[in-house]
Amino acid sequence: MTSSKMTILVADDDRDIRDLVTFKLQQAGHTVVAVEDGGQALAKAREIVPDLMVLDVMMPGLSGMDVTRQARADAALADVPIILLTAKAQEMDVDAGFAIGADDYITKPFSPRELVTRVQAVLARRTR
Amino acid sequence: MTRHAILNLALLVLSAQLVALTAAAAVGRGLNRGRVRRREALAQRLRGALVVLTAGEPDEVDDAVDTLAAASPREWRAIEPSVRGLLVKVRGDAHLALVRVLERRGLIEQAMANLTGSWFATRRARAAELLGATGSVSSTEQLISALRDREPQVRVVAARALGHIGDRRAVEPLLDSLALGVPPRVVTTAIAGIDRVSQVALEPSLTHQDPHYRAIAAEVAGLAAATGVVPLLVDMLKDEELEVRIRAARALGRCGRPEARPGLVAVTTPDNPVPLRVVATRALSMLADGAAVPWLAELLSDPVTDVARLAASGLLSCGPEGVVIVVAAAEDPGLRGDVARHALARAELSGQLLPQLVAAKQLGAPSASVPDPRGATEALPVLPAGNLAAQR
Repeated sequence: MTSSKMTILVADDDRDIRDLVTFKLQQAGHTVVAVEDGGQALAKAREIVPDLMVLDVMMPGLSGMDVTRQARADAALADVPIILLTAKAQEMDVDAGFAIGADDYITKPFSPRELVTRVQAVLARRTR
Repeated sequence: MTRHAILNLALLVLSAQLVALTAAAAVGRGLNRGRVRRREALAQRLRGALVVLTAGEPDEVDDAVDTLAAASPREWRAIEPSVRGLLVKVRGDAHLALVRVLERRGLIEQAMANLTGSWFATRRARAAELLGATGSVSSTEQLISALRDREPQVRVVAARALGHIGDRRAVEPLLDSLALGVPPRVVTTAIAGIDRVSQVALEPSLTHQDPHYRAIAAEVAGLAAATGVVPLLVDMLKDEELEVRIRAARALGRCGRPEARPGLVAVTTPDNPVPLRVVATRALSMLADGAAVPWLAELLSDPVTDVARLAASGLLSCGPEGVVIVVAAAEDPGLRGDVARHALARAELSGQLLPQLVAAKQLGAPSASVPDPRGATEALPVLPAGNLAAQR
C-alpha cells in the first residue's frame, strides 16, 4: 500500500456515490476533487493533473470511456491511472474498458472498502 | 351587441385565461422548486449520516444507523430515494448497514406484508423491488408466490428481485413463470444471477417439451457456464427449433469445453441456416481450441462475411498457429484478405496482437507476411485508408 497523500479526481453524476467515494478516499488520506460529469472531469484533469482518476462509465455528455480515451490521447494525462466504475458488468464492457487504457474496472454493486484497496493497488503499481 | 364587440370580448377572455394559466404555471413551478429545496434541506441533514453509514469505520456505523432509524417521517421521505438507490449500488458492509436501517424502521416487515396483502399493484411491486434489493433469502418464498401475482408488472419485478437474491430455490419457479407471461429476457437474466445454477435444476427444462423452456434453459446454461450440461447442449444443436439450436450453440461457446467442438463444427457447414452458422462460428472461436484451427481456416474463405470475420478472430485467439494463417490470408486480394486484414487491425487495436506475432514468428511463419512485432503497425499488410494506428 502506498502511504503518500495523492490527489484523486472522482467523476460520477450520482451524488450519493460521489459523496461516498469522496468520503472513503479522504478517509484513506487522499485529497479528492469530485465532479459530476465527463466534461468537467476532463477539464479538471487537465487543470490539476491528478495522481489517479475514478470515473463512472455512464455519465451525461462524455462517458467515463470517452474521458479515458481522450486522457490517453493527451500527453499530460496519458500516464494517469484510471479506474472505471460502472453498473455494466458484462465481460465485453470490461474488455472494452481495458482496451482503451483503463487500469482497473470496478462494477456496481461495489464494496467501498474494496474500492480503496483497488485504488491503493493501482497507485502502488504506478509508483513502483 | 355587434359581431365586432363579441370578437373583442372573446379575445379579452382568451387573453385573461392565458395570463391566468401562465401565472398558475409560474406559481406551480415556484411551489415545486420550494418543495424540492425543502426536501433537499431535510435530506441534507441526514446525508452525512448516510455517507458514514456506507463508508464509515465500523465504530461510526452504529451511530449513523441510530440517526437514520430515528429520522422523522418527513426527513425519511427526503432521504429514502438515496437509501434505495445505494442499496443496489453497494455491497458488503455498506449494504448490510443500509439493510439494518430498513429493518429498524420496519420497512422490510412492511414490504413483506405489502407484497402479499396490498390491494395496490404499485405497492406490491415496490415491496418486491425493496425485498430484492435487500438480497435477503428470507423473502424468497414470498417472492416466489409473487411470481403468480394477478398483475404482470408485479410478476416481472418479483422475477428480477429473485435474480438479485440469488437463492437456488427460485430456479424452477422462475422457469415456470414463463408460462405466466414473464418475459424470457427477464427470466434469463434472473436465473443467470443465481450463483451455481445446479445441473439438476436445469436438466428438466433443457429437455422440456415446450421450445421456450429449452431455449431459455440453454441460454441460462451458457450464462452460468454450466459445464455439466454440455452433452445435453450438444444434443440440442439438432433440436427441431432453430431458436433452440442457436441458443445451444451460444451456450456451448460460453461454457468453453473442447468436447463441444465436433458438434459446433457440424452446424457451421453451408447447409445450415446462416444465423446458426454465425453463432456456432463465434462459439468455436470462444473455445480457443487449437484443434479447431483447420476448420476455422476453411471458414475464413466463407462467402458469408460474418462467418468469415468470426473465423478470423477465432483463429487469432487459437494461438500462433491461427495467427500464421490469418497473417498469410491478409495478402489475398479478395474477401478472405479483407477479412484477415480487418481481424489483424482489430486485434492490434486491442493490444492482443503483439505477443501472438512474436510467437508466430518463432513458429517460422514467412517473414514477408508476418509483421515485425517491434513495429507491428508499419508492417501490417495493406491496412485500409483510415489506418487504425494512425487514428490513435
